[in-house]
Amino acid sequence: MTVIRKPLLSCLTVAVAALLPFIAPHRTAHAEAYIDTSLTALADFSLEDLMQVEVYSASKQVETVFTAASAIYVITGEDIHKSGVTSLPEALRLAPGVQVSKIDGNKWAISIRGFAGRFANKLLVLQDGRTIYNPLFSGVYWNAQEIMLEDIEQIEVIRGPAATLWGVNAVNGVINIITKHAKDTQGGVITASGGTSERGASGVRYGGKIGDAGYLRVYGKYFYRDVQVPVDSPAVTDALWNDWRGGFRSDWALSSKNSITFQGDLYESRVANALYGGGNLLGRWNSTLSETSTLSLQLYYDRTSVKQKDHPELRDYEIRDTADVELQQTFALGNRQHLVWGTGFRLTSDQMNRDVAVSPTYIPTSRTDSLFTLFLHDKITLLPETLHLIVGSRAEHNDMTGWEIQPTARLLWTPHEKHTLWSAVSRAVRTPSRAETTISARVTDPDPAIGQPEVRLVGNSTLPSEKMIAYEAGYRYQPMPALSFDLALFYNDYSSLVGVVQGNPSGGSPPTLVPINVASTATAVGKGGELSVNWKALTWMDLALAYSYLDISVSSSSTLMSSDGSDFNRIVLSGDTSPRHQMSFISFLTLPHNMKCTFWLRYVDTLPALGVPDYVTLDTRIAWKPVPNLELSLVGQNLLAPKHQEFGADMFGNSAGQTERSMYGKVAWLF
Amino acid sequence: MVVLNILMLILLAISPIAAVMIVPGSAAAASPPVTRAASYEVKAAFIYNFTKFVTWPSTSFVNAADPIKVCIMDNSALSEALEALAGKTSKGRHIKTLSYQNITEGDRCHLIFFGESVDTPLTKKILLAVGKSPVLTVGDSAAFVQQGGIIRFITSGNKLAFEINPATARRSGLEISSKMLSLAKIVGELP
Repeated sequence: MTVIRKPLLSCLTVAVAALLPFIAPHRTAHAEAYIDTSLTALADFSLEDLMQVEVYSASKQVETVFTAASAIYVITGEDIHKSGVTSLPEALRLAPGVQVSKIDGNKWAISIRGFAGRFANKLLVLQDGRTIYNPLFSGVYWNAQEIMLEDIEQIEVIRGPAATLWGVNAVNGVINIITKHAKDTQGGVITASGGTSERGASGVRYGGKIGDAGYLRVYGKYFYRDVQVPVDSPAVTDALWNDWRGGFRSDWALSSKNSITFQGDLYESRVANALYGGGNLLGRWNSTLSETSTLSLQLYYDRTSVKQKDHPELRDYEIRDTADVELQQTFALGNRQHLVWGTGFRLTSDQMNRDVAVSPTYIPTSRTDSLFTLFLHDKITLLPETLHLIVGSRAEHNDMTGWEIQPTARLLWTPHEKHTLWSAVSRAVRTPSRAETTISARVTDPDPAIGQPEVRLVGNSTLPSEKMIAYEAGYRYQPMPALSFDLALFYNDYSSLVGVVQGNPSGGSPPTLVPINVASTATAVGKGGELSVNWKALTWMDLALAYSYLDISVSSSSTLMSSDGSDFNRIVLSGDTSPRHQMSFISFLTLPHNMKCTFWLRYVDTLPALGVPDYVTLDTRIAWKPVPNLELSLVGQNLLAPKHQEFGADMFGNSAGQTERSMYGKVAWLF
Repeated sequence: MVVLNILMLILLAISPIAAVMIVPGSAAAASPPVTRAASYEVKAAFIYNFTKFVTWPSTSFVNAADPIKVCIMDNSALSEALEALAGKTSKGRHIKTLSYQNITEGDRCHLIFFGESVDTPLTKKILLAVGKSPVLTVGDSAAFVQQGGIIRFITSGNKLAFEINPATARRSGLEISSKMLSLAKIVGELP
């Protein structure tokens, strides 16, 4: 390696010259029948004893993922950093099988294995154990989740049902965002960036020690970004997305066996007149009861509010308070059964806009819902180190549909340390949202002059849950530590999917009101698979390839044509809003002279229901550390076309935007 | 997939029986469990242990209470593991861990660890700068000892061992105990 004068050129050269063999040492065996020793215990080992300890070179997480009986992928904080993404939704593109379609500058349709929409309702999203899935539309306000990316330890993405362990609504998948332990964020970081779409952003975080065993970090972040060019209008708006947030996390080791965590955030995100705000406070106590048993107790409070500024009737569109308590214990029963059980209770109370003249409204305007949950999960060793059976079930009681049972059975076979095969059958449900059960929204204004009735969308308080039975199978192969393959296949059978039907017109002849009722109208079958390949081709080159295939067919018992001739149900059910093929290839390169560069190529197929064409896009990042505590980086995003569309208009009439080619520069200083 | 699922359903049906059969006591005696840990943690424990078996010349420390400074090049997990051992002492001295971000010109390291991610030119440069001063150099890369390093971690099977070049150590003014040498694979000229 000689002096690099043209970083971009050299990046390209090394990217092309990738195919060199890599010889690596033998890999260690799997998780069971081992005693995982703590660091403090190791320090008291003699040299002879240390030479008898089996070591695993990969992180514990990687090892766990390799022998997991579900389709799980872990995006590390390092991956996020190196990819150059600036927001949480964009970071999710790093995982295979996740559809991330930008609707406009601050809205995303994010889903796994189909049914994408702004409020993709079959996906559960958590941050540090706190659910950020909002029960109003059964979705996530992604624009209100712009946490400090530097503080993310990892994002676990589980494709497929994971309701037994994670709870109701984890039908198609779970996204679990985990931030770093306060001990791992000691010292300070200041970042500043600016660019064409990413206009300006700045973040500050500082971590310190409190006493002998406590750590604390505080952070603040502010950014403003372009909202996008709408598809149907050439006009460039000058509206910006302004977002600020701040928060803290502290971790305390009370003793060698007890630790507690406190954390909280406060934020406000504003685009034009829409104001998303909120805050949360979470406490968790972890206790090691014995070598094989742990106990954790978690409590949190969360407030989310959506307001329309300068719009008197919609001043408080939604204010939601949630309080949640959870207890979880793991323990071993004999040396062949590893159990996890837990129980929890959640109260969520909302206050919607009260002016019934304004559409949409919710009846009643204020409601409190409770959720009680109990689960048991047992991993049984049938043949030591080779064959495991996992059985579990969750019982949940909610105020809308009563008791819901979500069982799973999984078989895990690791015939050889390099191979893992798994298979699962699970049932999962999605409970009806607050909107689906109580909405009252005017779709068409009445016009008596031409005999045009009012068309109104009306919620259904007796709506049953959406149900799914999923059949899954997977295979992982790691021929050498530097190379791994992960294949997952699924067949999802959905029933009682929520759509709309036309109700009986009322008000005489001609009618003055035509209701459109929310109802269970459809069944669906989703099938497909995801393949990911990770290869550390050279010590300075990491390559990752992901491909996913999805085929969804929805059979609806009702069709309801909207004025433009499209089937309203098709959009409500979000059947065809996902790409059939998605592909991603990313290459992380570590170059001499403290330089790093990244190439990220993605292909996303057409979205038939929304008339969105397929696209190919390329992101690149070049970073240089002139001194160890300073990093300068230049990122180009969506480089292959001036602009492209990723999603269509949503059912609320918000039109889609176009993602533009963009560039930004960033400075990060550690102190 | 269908076959696997049928197999699983059968297993599910018999699982209550299986669960009863394998509760404590009824299981056949399992082989003794193997102790294991993440490689960076074991390396941290080794490094801590090395400081007990290596004698630095008295000129290496100004005061009796001076800590042993361990400088970690480019391996944050290992730095953190060593930092967690900060409360422990080795021959009456505390261990002070400096990760590469924090090392300044004025710092004199007693031990430098070169992680896998440290490239060869940088390793060579630092080893050259260290020269014959009393610094215990520990590394991971294959040619570390040939380049002038003193100790290298080697992997044998799933376990860690280490090789030592005693001649380099001697030239640096470091005294390595015979016990530690007896456990090591000796490379280079014989002492």
